[in-house]
Amino acid sequence: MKKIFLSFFILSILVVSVDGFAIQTNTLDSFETNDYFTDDPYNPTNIANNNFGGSWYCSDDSGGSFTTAKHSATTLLEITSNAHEGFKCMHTSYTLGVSDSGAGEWAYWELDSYFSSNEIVRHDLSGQTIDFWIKGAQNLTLKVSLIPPNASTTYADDIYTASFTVTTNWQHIILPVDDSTFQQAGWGNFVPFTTAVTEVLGINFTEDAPEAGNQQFHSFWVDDIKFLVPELLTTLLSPASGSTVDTSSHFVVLHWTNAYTNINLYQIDVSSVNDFSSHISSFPKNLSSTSTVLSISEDGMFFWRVRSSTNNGSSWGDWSSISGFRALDSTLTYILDDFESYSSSLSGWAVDSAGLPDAWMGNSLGTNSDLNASQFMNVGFYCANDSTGWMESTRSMPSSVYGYRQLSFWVKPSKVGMQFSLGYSITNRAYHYNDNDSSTGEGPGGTNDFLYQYLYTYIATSTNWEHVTIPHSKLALQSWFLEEGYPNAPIDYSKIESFYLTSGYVDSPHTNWAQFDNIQLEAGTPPNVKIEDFGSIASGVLPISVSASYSAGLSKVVAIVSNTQNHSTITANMTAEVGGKFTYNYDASSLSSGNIIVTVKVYDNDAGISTVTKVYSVGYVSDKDIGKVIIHNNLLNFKDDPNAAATIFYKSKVDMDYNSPALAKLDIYSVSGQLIFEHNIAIPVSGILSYEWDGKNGYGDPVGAGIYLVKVQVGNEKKISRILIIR
Amino acid sequence: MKKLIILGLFLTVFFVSSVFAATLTSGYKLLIKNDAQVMAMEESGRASIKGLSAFDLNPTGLSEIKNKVLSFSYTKYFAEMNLFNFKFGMNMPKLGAVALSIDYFASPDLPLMNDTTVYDTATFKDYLVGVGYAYKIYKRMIILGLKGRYLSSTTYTFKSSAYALDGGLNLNFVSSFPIALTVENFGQGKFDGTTFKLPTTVNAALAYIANFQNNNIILNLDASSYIEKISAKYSASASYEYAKFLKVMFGYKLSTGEKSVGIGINKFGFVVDVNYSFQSVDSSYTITLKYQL
Repeated sequence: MKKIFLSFFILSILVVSVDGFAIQTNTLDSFETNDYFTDDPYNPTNIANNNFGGSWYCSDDSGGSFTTAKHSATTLLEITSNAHEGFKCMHTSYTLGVSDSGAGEWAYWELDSYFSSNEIVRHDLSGQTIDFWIKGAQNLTLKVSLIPPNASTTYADDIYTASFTVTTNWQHIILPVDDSTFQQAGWGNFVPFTTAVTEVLGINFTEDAPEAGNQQFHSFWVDDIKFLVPELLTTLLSPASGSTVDTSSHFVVLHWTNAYTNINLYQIDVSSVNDFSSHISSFPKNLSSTSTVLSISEDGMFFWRVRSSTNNGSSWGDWSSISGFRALDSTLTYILDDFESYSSSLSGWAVDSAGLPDAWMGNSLGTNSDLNASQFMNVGFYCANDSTGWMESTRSMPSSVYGYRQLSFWVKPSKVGMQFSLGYSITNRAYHYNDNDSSTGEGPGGTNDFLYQYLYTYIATSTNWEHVTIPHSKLALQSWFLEEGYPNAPIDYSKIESFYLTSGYVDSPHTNWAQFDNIQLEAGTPPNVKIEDFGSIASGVLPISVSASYSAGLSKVVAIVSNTQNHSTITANMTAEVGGKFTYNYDASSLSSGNIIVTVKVYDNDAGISTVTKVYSVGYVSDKDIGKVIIHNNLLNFKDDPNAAATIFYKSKVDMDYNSPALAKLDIYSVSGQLIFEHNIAIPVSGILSYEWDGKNGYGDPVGAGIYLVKVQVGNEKKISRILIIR
Repeated sequence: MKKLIILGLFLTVFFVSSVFAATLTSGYKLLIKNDAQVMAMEESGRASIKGLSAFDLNPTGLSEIKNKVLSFSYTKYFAEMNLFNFKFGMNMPKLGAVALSIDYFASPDLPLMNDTTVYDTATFKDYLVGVGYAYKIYKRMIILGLKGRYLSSTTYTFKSSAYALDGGLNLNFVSSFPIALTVENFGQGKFDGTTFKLPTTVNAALAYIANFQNNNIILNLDASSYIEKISAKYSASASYEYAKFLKVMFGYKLSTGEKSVGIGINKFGFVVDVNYSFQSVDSSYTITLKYQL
């Protein structure tokens, strides 16, 4: 019996898998399952059980006899692997068509009603094909007609017809449903098919015979008549593919469109690689809208795609095309170049009065065809080494940016072994020139900032595009500052002023050049930070605890709390406690169900920044869960995890107001009804109770393995759920 | 003397009164009673209960089985669980009384949920088989009872089993003041290969049986505690039996406030007992049908 069930189960899965709607194939005949066509063609009521609601028939102008042939399996096996039983219109037949139960002569297969409610309804005919097998008693020219709604069957003005030839062998005919294939019959005003027709209600086959009176009709057979409806893929809208998204808010909203009206589930797949061999996130989503919020905790490349289902995930359509974006937290990484948006000038870089780059630079932009397109570095610039000048980025840095400690860029040198220098300048108001010349604004009494320049000499090892990362420790203070006795650069950086590259150290003669792209300043080695486990929300407050270690002294620790439900973000300095601990009490009293994302940023005195993110689940207590006890991790397996804990959620049916109970009672019982644990929970304004139970009884001792009953009581309202403990 | 005995019995469980059940134990299903009479008296009738219903509470009561008797019980239990029990008892002259009991616990599936989604479904199967024996000694004023049970469970993917031994002693020196001492659920089990001890309880009970115009009035008092962590619970009950045809019962647990009511009808060899319990977890009810062969 088990094997039977297993087989059935596997078969069900196979059936479901096959039934995806990547290509919607609608077989119009059902000849393999119905043994008919042996009766009077004028009495189609004997032809039953067609799966499109009508009946096939052959009409006969002359009133002659009608017969059908039940083909042998042997012959028809030549067509497909299945046994076929098509039918035949004899030479006296006029039209092979579909008889509608109520429409009389013409059979109208209604596209809308044909599709079941859980499948796709499309009125857009583009990309669709009509597909069938056919053979004739002799070589013939036949035609297939598509009949739109309200077509005139007398003059066929609104009927669109495609002609084709058949032989005495079975042929597989696939005709695209387009303007060139299907053309208007009759004498009406000719209108292109796809302009006039958005819906096909009927289909028929007939011999392409001369006018009446000269008709020479012949027999032909038709089988496996299908309408192929290609799926319309989901289109990804934003973020635009190739774009860079500032994720300092730690969210990116993904938008897409769908072509169908009855999608009830999407799956959103997010990966750091464009082949999706690994997944950052892959989740189904019940949606009434076509967008979702993606939590971003780190910089990097994000690729995403979406697919849809019309049957709650039993089968899926094809994935959309892949879109990718680069996530950059502007408080951590800043891109100095602006090549992707370059149009007519080197935006963001110094140009001369003629609008061209400085003379020592080449003024044409190169295409970095060697770069992977996914890296979005397909445009760069090059500079020829014909001077010792330097170029300076004129892009302004955010005022909040301090102490970038790592430089990275892509480079494509023209020659192995060539040298050039890159660096950046910072200003620091604590140091001044020593010349005491207030007239120049320099030195004590002056107002100009002191400019420090850090340089790194790069020696090319190949002529391919390479990604180079230079930690701050490898960037040397420009020597002439030191030679002139100026103070060393301060540890306490101030604002970064510019990025530049020079050719001053490039080999001579200066005939070599290099292309650069994606010049970035990034945070360097960060301090260590860890978010401790969250406490439970009590009295509407969620305590957030952080431990941080560092080598250069902490500047500040900031908690950023975001609620995915309303995208609001709260930023707050955390309070320092003993032993590198920092705390912040987040006011969760107005929190609705869902996740909140806590991001903690630690800034050290060496300008390092560290970020760590953790998600706290407030509980999936949606409206449908009101009045239910929802337990996350309701299987506590202490063999696998000694620190396992279950989170118990409950949202009362009672609208909380000043008359509502202030406390809820949480009791846990053994399965025999003995009280194991009890706890009173303050009810927050949101009405959502949350409590984390660690599998211990009221004495603080661990309880044994087995099933336990969890009861939550608010006033007279009580609900019970179960929890399973393994030890 | 009687007062001393009674006082001594209750002092044994009068140590600490606490609300929480014992720890690091499993096999709580062995503590579930599935008999309408037992539940109607809030498990306080250890000293007075007689017949096949005594199997669940104090096996000494099996000694009052007349010839052969069958019973079937159904309990609509907490958290949508349903309990079924079948018992058969037989009294053999001079050899004592024996009984067989089979329980089946029907628990609904439990969807297992992690932080975000349901990832699996846990199913449960629990069977409990027990045999009991009772014998009267010393001018029929002392009754000894013994009961052994075996529980077999499948919880999700985990197998467990448990063996439990229950013993009872009834003292009927004064027929209107029977006294009972029982030890229940003594034994151990295994859950997924890990041995655990059962939540063993000790119980002391006394009853007062008065006959008023050939109708019995029974008052019961019971004290119960886990052995591992003494936490005494007290319960009391009263029953009134009219013309051996109608019986009404009321039970009350002093420590938890749980209470039960019950009614029994005895006619043509059939006994139907029904009770309704207001438990701390939730309410439940039990129907027991007995037939005297």
